Amino acid sequence: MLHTISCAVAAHLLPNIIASNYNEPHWKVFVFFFLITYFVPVLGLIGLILAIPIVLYHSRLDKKTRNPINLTNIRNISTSKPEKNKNYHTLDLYNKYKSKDSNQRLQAIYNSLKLKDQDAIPLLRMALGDQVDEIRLLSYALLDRKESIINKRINNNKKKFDKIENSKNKELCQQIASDYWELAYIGLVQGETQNYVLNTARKYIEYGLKYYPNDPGLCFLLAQILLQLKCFQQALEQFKKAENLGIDYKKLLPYYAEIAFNNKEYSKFKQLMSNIDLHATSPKVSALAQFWHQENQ
Amino acid sequence: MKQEKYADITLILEGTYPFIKGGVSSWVHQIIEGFSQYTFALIFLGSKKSNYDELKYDLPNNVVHLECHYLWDHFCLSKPKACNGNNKYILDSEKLHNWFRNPNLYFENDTLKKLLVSLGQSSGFTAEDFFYSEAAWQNFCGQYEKYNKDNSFIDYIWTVKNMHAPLFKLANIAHQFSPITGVFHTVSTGFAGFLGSLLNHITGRPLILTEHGIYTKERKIDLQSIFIKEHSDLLSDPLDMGMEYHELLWIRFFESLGRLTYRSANTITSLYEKNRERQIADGADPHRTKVIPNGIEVSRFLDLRTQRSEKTPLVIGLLGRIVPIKDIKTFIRSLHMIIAHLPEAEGWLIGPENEEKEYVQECKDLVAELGLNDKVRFLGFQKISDVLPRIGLLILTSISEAFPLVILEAHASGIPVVTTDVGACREIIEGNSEEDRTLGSSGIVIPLANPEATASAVISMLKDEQRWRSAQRAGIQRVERYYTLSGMLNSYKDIYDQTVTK
Repeated sequence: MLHTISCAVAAHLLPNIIASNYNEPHWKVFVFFFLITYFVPVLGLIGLILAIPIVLYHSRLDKKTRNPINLTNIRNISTSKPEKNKNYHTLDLYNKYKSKDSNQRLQAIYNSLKLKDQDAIPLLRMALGDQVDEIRLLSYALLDRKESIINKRINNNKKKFDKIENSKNKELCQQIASDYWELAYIGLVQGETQNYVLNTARKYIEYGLKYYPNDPGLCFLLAQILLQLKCFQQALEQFKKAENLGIDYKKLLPYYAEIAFNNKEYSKFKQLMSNIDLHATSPKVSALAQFWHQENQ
Repeated sequence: MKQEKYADITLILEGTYPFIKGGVSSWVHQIIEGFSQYTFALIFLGSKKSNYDELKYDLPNNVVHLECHYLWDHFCLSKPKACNGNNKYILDSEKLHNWFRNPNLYFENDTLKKLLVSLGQSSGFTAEDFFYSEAAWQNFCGQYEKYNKDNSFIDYIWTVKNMHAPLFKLANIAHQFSPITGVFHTVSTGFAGFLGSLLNHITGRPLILTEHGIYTKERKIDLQSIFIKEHSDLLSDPLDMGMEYHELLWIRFFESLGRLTYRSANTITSLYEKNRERQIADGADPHRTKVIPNGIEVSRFLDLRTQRSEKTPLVIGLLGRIVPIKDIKTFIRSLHMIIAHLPEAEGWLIGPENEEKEYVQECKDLVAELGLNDKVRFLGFQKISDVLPRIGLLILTSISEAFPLVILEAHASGIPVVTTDVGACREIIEGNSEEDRTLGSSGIVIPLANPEATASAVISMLKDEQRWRSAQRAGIQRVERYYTLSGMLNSYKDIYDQTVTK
């Protein structure tokens, strides 16, 4: 009874509050508000009853997921954790790789990641013959990854190059040729495949030179490729051309020396080697040049 | 299937037969079919139920019991509550862990038996004791302080908890396993090996261990492959062994499970000598080890031999999945050189391509790059009987193999093989004993990832008819003499006969 009276009072007051701009509220509005207020507890009760099984179901699920054991995959690596700051030298790793302990050899292969590709690759290739599967597989996977990265770049650039608007793009030609050159230079491909790769690089460089015959960068790269292909005379001509187009003579000295040596012009070779600036060249050439510096003294 | 109360042999299978197809599964099927006089019970251990669908094999009639358990599905524990835990058990288990760290220490068999038999039992050490007890917590903290305090405690504690949780599950499986069994036979170490050790100690029945690959090594390689994918060359230093500390703990954990299995097993078999040596290095007693190579039913291949044409087809076939471990790129590169010398030659890649799609694409790009589109065929999965008669030479350029059945199948069909020097390949090609070597080489063994050596081996074999014929003859004779299914089954028969009735 009390609920009925309260509902009637609420139904009378609510239209006045909610719709105060109506002077004479309609009786239907009174009935509407009365019914709403009268049945709210019933609706609430129905809602509550319906909610109980849902809540129970979810709480059971929660209980399961709150299990303290989270069995997931065993790996959750963070690559950001730094090791002791250690510099790895090629020789250190080669010595480490000579160890009889396979764990030491495996560690040497991991550490080769800190070497330059051209220093790491001979070590990785050597490790391909290791008796221990883990070492062989790791070396192979690291070599394959290096090669895949370059190959992907070549394929993407070749696709771009095939479009007509890019057919005269010097940078693309140079990039494709450089990537092929890198495959051969750092030793990722060998033998016949190396020759094939070098010839492909040569093809792209020559294509670029058709449109930009006086580009020193293209000439220099072509000369290096020709040298690697053992076309000494052609290489010499291209190095000369690159020099005339502005490439620093000092930078070209090791190449001139190599050609002279292969042409059996030993006195010229000696002279060229002694002119090499020991501080401005790569460690390998520098070591060689140092020997000839001493010879000349 | 009617679940019988007795089985002569219980096979313990982790992630393989009868839900996964592959070399190990084929071997298991051969064993069950080959020993029709014995009944078999199978315990399958999987990762998560959702990873497996229907059975991949029709179970032979002598399989009388099959039960499946999934180690990485939810593990139910009672509500957390404080308890003291079993201090005596923890002290003994600490001794066991010391033995894992230093195998030269003495560790009594009786204590080991007590630890294994009472694992998961209320009278011994339950999962609740491990997860909630004061004693276990004190032990974790003590071990952390002693061995790992430079590393994250959170990583340490969860690694230790995660790695031990399945062991309690395995203890429940072992105690609830109902069929009475003549002998337990596990096909790997790892969790299957641990379950085998538990059953061996609980029931007193013998345990046989057969390893096709080396489980611990494979786990290490898994972690390495993740390292390869995730590691950034420039931004961070290489970690010790390429792994975080808690990952090294996982490797040690699997090594320890291996050592425990080697200690419990009465007979330990491997497929070839190098793997036997590895088992010994990992803690197996040399006297219990034995090499039993795989074998094939040679009669199945006689017909394929007769289908061969008089002239050797200039087709070089590589049968296997197109995945990096098979080093398909070396094969493709070698073809570039082979075709320069033998313009009519073709290379066939026969095997599924769905596993490493990116790698398959790289191989196809390489084929296009080398201008070999009309010389290299990617044939996908094929029935071996359809392709072997049309192949002149089988090639394997793999970086890793165990005991490739495909070499035996090629030899049985009259095909010589050029293969890299991995796993048992050299002993299959060149012979495993003085007597075997007198048969001659059934192919050529080449160095890894070397297209030039591969090409030169293939060319020399295909250009020299006499050499090809003598390799063919040696291959057929070798398989018929040393690698028959009946030979393999006889070796296992000796072991089963001694143990089932013991």
